[in-house]
Amino acid sequence: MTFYSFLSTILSYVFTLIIYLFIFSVIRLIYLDVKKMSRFENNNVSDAACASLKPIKSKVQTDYALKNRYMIYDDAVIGRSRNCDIVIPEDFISSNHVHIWYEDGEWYLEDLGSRNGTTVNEQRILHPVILDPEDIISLGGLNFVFEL
Amino acid sequence: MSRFEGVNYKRPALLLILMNIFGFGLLFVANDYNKNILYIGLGILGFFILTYTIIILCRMGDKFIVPMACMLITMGVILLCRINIDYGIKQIMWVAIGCVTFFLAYAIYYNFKYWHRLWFFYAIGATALFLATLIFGKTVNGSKNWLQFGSFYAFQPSELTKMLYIMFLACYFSKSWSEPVGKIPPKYISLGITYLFIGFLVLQRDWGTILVLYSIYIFMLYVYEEGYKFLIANIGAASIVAILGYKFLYHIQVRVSTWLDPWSDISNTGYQITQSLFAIASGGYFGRGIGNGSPNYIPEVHSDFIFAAVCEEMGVFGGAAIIILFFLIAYRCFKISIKTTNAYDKAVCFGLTVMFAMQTFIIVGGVTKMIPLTGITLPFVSYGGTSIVVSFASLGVIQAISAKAERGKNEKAGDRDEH
Repeated sequence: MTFYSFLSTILSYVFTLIIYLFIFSVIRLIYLDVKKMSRFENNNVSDAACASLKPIKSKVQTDYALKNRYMIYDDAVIGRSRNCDIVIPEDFISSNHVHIWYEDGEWYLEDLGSRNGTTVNEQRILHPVILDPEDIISLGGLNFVFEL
Repeated sequence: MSRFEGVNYKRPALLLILMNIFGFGLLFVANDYNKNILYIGLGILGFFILTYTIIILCRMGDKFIVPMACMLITMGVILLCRINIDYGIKQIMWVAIGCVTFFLAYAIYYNFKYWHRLWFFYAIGATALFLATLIFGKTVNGSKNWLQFGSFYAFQPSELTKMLYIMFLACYFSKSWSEPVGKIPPKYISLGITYLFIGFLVLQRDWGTILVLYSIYIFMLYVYEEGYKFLIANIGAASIVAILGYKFLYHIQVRVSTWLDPWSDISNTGYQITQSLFAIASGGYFGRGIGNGSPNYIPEVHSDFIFAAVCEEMGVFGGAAIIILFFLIAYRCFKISIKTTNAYDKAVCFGLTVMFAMQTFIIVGGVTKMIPLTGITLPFVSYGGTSIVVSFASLGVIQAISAKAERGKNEKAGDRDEH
């Protein structure tokens, strides 16, 4: 029995080691998996500049469930039409509403002649403007935060 | 896969096999070379390798939850064999049934598309189970929560009701059920059904399940409901009910007084919790080694108090490892819940995750005297047929949700073209 309890005591350290190695390897796999997925997402837009629009509380109600975040790679047209990069099928959004693109280190926004208009920080947009992070963009009353 | 050097899906599996070989080898020596131990070990390994291979080859979604659950089961079975070899043999049978249930739940949940419309059946099914328990139930350790069929087979309906209740709540919170019944909006029906179930559980004196159900409800309200008024009203009502229960129900008074001071009545009400504390204290950092401790002094060590046995024989590090594994499982499940696009799947996955997390919190907290003790099983580790099978079934549902989310990308693109 003394041999057994000696063996068991030794093995208790081995068990602890194995369990923690197991946890470590699972964490490592999860980390690699997350990294791999984010690499796949950007696959076809390698080295593209990346920004995002995040919906925030608006005055207007949408029937359509908005995503938590809309990603923009280099260039995106937002509108109701199916050909847009970001489709928001709501009546108060024009079919091609607004164009956001990246050029020489700056993000630009241009209204494409929408009926209800676009405002950035509550100023109506008539000409292309440069966007800053945390700007609030409103498309016909639907508000987004622009984030890098 | 070759593009990502260093991603080795085999390593956790190999470590798990190593753990099994060492653990069951040691038990083989400890039990006078009883061959049954080897069969149990081989059975566990077989089930694990089969499940893991099928998951990887058939791309059944998430690859990390099942190995972690298998690690928990391995630790549980090793300790159960050490406590009493009969428990180990029965547990391995339940694990076998659980594996089958896992794949069944996966296939059914993956292929059947109308889960979000069946709120009525979930509510009726759960109520029927409760009524059956109240009428035909058998009282074990002061809680009337067992249904017995014949002389061999008994099961705990409350484990199954938890799943039905989550699916019911998900119908409401995912907004797939929005038309009122009569003139009562679904919000108040779900509220009423929650309190009805809690009432049934009070009659059964199953306090642990009440805590789990109510916390699922509160967490779902917190995540889904706009504004905090309804949530705060609920929590207020619950605390008033809890205080009233403490004033008038003897059972709850005993639990709270045992929690505050188990030492004053150490031979009677405080016996279980003090033995558990002695066991945890004697384990130290690395434990006394499997077979060196004396977990059999703790009543109910094989089901509710298995965590104390883990702490005694595998040390604080072993106990912490169990908590870390549950953390990681909860993290992966929340991740799946965030990633999936179907609102109903999101709600179900979230509810099941909260169920696992709360169950772990309640029983680990109870055993270590952090919160008042309520009897509930530690998922995957404790001995218990229904608990193992239902945990496997929930795992199957989560796996199906993650598989849907991973494969659903093409469907969604097709969807967009049709509009």
